[in-house]
Amino acid sequence: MDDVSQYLESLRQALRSLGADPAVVQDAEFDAAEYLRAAIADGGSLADAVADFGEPEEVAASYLESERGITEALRGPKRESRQGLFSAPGVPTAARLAYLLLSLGTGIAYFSVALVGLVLSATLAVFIIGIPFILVFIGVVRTIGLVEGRIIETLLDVRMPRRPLLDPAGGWWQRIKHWLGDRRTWTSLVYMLGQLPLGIVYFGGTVFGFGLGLWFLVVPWLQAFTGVAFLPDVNGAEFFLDGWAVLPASAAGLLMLFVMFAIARFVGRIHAVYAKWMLVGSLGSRRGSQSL
Amino acid sequence: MTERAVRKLRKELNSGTVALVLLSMLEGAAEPMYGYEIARRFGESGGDAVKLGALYPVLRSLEAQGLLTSTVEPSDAGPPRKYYDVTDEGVATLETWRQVWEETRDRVDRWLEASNG
Repeated sequence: MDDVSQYLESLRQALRSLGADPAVVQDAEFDAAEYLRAAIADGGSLADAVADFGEPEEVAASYLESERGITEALRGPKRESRQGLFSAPGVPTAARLAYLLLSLGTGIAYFSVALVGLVLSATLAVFIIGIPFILVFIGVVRTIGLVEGRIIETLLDVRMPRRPLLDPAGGWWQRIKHWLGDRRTWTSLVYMLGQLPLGIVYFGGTVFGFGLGLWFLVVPWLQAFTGVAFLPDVNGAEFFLDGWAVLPASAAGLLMLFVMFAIARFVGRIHAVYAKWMLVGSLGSRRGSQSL
Repeated sequence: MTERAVRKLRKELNSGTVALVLLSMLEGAAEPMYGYEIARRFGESGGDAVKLGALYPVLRSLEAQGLLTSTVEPSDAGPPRKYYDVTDEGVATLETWRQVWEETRDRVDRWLEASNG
């Protein structure tokens, strides 16, 4: 424990007591460590550095003030949670949908990186090259956790860290120990593996649900006006809706689209909570908090 | 006026101008600057009215608004550094802010002179 660590601990506590989001705590710690260590490396004392930088309480307050400003400026005071089933889908809903569709691509990428990394780590572990490889792999996992966080903040509207996880001072050995002991390294890895099945379900569900909704919305009218079959091939025969069913079928399609919008918002919210827990960790847990 | 009231006024005046100063500093810089570098230059030029720790959240807020971009790079001397650079949107915004600032400053000056004279 050096003195900078004590400062960071006080900063963490000050932010927590003000109810700061874990992501803000992670950012603030990164900034404070950067300034204080650089100032000391420049030949100053810690006391001088803190005098210029500000006491933990002051710094914590300025983060919260700025965070409120960001939230209001970027998102406005109105929150999406007011949307009911039949609210017109706006930009937030479109962003949730974009995330669900994108998750197949990112899921494949994360899964491949995690699998290749794990297999190579296990294979190379018997050779001397294995050790640096494993460390690079862990670094990659932690970086992907940050990148995924940025995507989630942009599309799912949940505050995620904008800074990488802070590594402890004091040499490579300390850093490696910290990485291996940090729950987030492992939950991020599990998250990467889990994104493939989730991505398949998100993508498949979105495409299927919207496809079905659009089909019911549009094709009954096509059948009515152009004579195209509602279902072109059912056991080798075409299937036509009865005339009276055109309007109800189309209305059901429209309803289905709105239900899909609501599901997309709901899944987006649940996924954001899950991702935050896996990638950022909760402040309450001892190992989830940043130990320096 | 008590010292506390002076501090409060300073803080209020600074709260709007720090973002302008930081954006202008980064726009004028030849290459991206990292947090400590920015804070030190700010401290050298601006007295002690603003705690340097308060600059970092402002940088972050400017980044969140798309006026700055950043890259994190490892450093030999300590923790990784976050280098900030101005985006095109940032340059355009700075131009507007500069005009607003000049108008405000001139207006306040005129009021002060009028009430003085």
